[in-house]
Amino acid sequence: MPRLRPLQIVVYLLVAFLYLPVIIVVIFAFNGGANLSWPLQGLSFRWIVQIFSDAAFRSAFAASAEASVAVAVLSVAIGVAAAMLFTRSSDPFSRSLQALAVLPAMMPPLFIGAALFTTMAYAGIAPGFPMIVFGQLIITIPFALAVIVARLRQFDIDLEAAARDLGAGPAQTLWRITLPIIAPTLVGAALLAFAFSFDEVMITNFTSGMTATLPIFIFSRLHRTIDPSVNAVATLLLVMPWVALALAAPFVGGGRSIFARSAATETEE
Amino acid sequence: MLGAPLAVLLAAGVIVPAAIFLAYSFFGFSMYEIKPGFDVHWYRQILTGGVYGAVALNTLAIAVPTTLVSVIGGYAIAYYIVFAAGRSGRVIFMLVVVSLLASYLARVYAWRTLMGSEGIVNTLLQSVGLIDQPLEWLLFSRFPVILAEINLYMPVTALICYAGLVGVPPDVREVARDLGAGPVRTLFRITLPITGPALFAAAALAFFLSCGDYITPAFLGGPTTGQTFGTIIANRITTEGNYPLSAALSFSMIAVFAIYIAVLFLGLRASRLLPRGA
Repeated sequence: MPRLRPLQIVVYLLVAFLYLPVIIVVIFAFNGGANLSWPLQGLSFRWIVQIFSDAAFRSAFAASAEASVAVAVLSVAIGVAAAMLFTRSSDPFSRSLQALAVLPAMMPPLFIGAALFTTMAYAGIAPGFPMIVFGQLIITIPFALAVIVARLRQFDIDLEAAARDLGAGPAQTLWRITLPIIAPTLVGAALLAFAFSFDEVMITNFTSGMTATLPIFIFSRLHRTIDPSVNAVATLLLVMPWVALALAAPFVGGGRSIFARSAATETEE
Repeated sequence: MLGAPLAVLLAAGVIVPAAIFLAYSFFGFSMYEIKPGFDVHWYRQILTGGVYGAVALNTLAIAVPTTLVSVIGGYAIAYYIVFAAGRSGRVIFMLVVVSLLASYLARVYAWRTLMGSEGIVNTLLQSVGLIDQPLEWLLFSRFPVILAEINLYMPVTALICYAGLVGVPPDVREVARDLGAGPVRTLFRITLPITGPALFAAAALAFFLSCGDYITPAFLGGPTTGQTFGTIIANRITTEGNYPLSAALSFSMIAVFAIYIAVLFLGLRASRLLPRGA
């Protein structure tokens, strides 16, 4: 279809435009010179080495990693509990909670952050690590929940009934039947929450206080100065969520095979 | 009580803070102290203009072009994926999703490197001989803020438009073509109206994201062009503890959102892109 050529060119240019800043950050993280100008002055790992020798960076990296792991685990725990309720009950509490759960995804993060900041001042709650995790949870929950609810809707509830018939209690059924079957989805949801959390800055800026996460570390360094080592930090910030999502992909694929296997054994019986 | 943790999180993280924030918007503030009470003077001050009028105009001068280009560009990408790309459509779709998941802050920061007076764009243009002096407006002005925000929000609008375009029945477009409509006419009379709700959602979200973005203008904007509703809300609250002003500005911003949604809805309907009774 030759008529579509102009559209094709426009779309290729737009996709290139989407990746332009990403490519620039990565290239300059490995630039040998101290100037952020073209042409590059050789390839070097000096900025990567430099940031890892900086104690402030290392503590920010550790804080980010710890916060993101906590957010990932809590998102899945809270998400599974709520998703079990949503897929197994349609009482008014369940339905209204499900409607409310999408609220944080529709509110500007600035609004959530500023309101949380005001509430912390009002209630005398100090900013810091627990509040970083709490603030990030608010926005990762709707996404983790959506993924888990979608999986549980496809879940064959007869498997639970069968377990109960064979004498398993509710806790045993959850632990031995339901959770193992949906485990790959939970890993995927956790990695998604991790990816969102690791890069979160809009709310974390209000909840972090003196504890810097990686985005806050960059944010604080950028007041009108150009610092080449920031490109190295930004590259890490880029890579971590991608790694998390790349890790998530095979788990979700494996999930399908686990599900297929359990379905196969079911039909055999 | 399976829903209890979520209910507590939503109550303590969103609903109660929003209520407290609303109450604060009616409080007074002087000599760095908050004076509880009920007074609409912040809202009056915001409505009667002055400094906030200029900030509101600057916010719109960033958000409107960002929204327009993001929606048109996002629609073009989605249209290409769904109707024209064939098998390469899946690759482009993946590229859009992956770019959406790339670090927000890294993508804002990159424009500093690109657009500075000794940055790549300026040095490149100078070495080619197109300009003698570095173009100063490439950084710390409204232009890089808009460019960076389009870069951030176009993947979002593209995915929303994609969701709308996938739902267009292919035979409807074929019928239009069979009846003699050209590709442009088919686009404007058939495809666009069917995807009206997706256009509406994309235009609404891009605008909200731009208005609520307090980091891009602060990084890339100039002394006045970097001041938006978002940056003022964030600054007043964190630097001088003026919670009441930030709260009133936040709720004013939400009022602006409501007006924008109404204008957008009526505008799309007047141009026959949204069905009546939708």
